[in-house]
Amino acid sequence: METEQVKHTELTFQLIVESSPNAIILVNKEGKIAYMNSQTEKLFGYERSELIGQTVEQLIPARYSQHHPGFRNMFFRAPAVRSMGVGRELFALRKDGTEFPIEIGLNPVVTVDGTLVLASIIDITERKKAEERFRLVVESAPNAMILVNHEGMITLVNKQTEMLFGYERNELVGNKLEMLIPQRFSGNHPNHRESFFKKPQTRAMGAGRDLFAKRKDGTEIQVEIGLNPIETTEGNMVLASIIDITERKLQEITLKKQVELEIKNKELEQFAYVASHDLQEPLRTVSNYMQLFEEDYSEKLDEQAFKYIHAVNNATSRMSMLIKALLAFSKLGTNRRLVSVDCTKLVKDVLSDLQKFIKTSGAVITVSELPTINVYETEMRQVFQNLIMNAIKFCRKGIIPEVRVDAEKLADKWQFSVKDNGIGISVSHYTRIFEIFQRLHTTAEYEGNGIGLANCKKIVELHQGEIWVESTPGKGSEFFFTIPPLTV
Amino acid sequence: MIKRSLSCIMLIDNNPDDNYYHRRVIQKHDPSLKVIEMDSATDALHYLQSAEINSIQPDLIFLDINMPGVNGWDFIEQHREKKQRLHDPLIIMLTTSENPDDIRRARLSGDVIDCMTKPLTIEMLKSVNKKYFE
Repeated sequence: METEQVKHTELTFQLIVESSPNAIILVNKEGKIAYMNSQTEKLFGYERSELIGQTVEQLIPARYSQHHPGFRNMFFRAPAVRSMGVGRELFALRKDGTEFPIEIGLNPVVTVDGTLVLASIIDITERKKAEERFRLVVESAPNAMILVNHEGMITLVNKQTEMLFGYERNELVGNKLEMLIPQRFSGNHPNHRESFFKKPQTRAMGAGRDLFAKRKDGTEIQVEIGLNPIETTEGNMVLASIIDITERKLQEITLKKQVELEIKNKELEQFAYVASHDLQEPLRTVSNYMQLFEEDYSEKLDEQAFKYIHAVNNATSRMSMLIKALLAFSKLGTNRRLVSVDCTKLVKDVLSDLQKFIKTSGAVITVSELPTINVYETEMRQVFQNLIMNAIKFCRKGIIPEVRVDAEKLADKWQFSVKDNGIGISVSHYTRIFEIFQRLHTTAEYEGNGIGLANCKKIVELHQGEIWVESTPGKGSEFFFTIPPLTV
Repeated sequence: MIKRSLSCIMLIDNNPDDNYYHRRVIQKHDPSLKVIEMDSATDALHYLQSAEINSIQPDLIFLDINMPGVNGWDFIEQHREKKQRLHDPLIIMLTTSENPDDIRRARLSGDVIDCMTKPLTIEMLKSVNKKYFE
């Protein structure tokens, strides 16, 4: 009767073990396999008869199997339900010698033959593969990605993270995420993390706030962070994707400054416009009334008085010219439009405008073949006109002015040059000549308003180019300016 | 356009010095021309609307634009609204303004026949006379 009972219990036990989806092995104190189910046969590739009575170490890769009896004895000393090898990666060995990752649950079973251990074995190859895929995806992401667990511990980082923060991978994994947050923010971070895990959903971090991260060297970078909740076997985690936006923020600031500068320039233009307009009025009155004065009192005036009137008239007309030049300077580049211009033709037009001036001076002007490029046509014409006029104007007494206009293609721009054999400019004046109203000579020596080269500079800069001069005093000057390719 | 005769010119400018100077230029051009100087657009409107009192009415107005209070544009507006006069003088904008907006606006308005820049000269008067008067 008793035997019947035992038999019945054994049968029930066998049925349960057989129907389990996991591989199940019963091992005795000596490490001998007492029983195994058919899942075990499938998983390990052995027939039941080949394993029963054999030591379980046969199913363990050689590099682990030598330590196994020790672990086994430890278990039997204090048998309890637990999972095996916590924190370690476990591997099993098939009959054909291949290995595969496993997870094992251990249960002590008390039988008539003494205490046995029931090992329930799960093949986690697929899960490991999935994990590996996930790791690869994270690794190949263009952003820094950090996987953080519920406690705020970093469990995974990618190459981008190492690059962004300047830490080695092993310096990060296993440590608190707060190490990557500037101190002034890190105090609050656990609270933020807590509230994320309370309601995990994909979202951007710190909406509306500027986020900063701290690199290993202590420097801070401005970042944007996307958060994704991820469920893993080790619990809920959050995958943070981090983008360094320091550069972008700098660009935003630059752009803002640029806009401000444009507004300032507009204001300045408006100011110059209004000022020059208002300045012109009283000046005109002065010159008008000098004329009336001359008309009405000519009989009472002596030669000296006429000389004074003449001086006043000269001054007013000069000031009027200056104001007009200032106005023109302030208007430079407004309403400008890029067009494709044949510079050879442009210079020819300039020369024909200056025909009279050139003829009087006796200047000899040579123009090489110049390119067709995108420029602000009216403005560019002014540059050539000013440079050519200067080249002729500042000639040495008794020497026929020779002017050469040239262009050279450099790697990323055209370089134009206007060369003369005139009086030249000393090095100390190379910069000053391009400033507005700066003149090196008296009006008596060389007529001018001190605005021509300032105009040239402003125009060349409108084209994102540069202008400069090279000169030998007493021999001649060569003005250079560059024009980069501009898109219409 | 039927050309009319020019015998009287009105100058509207808040700057009396400009008015006086322009009067001199006009009289140098033709001493027989009458010149009415107005220091404000309001005074000018008033004058134009009281033809029974002010029997001498202008054939031509040189109008400044930038004036305090009622400016040149306001003048044109109000003048157009009260066109019950017999007399409808031609209006020329005479101003220091080279503001392209002002010039465009003047071109578009049918009320201003020309835009000129101060100061008025004998040459300008000659050409106006030739273009708009007999």
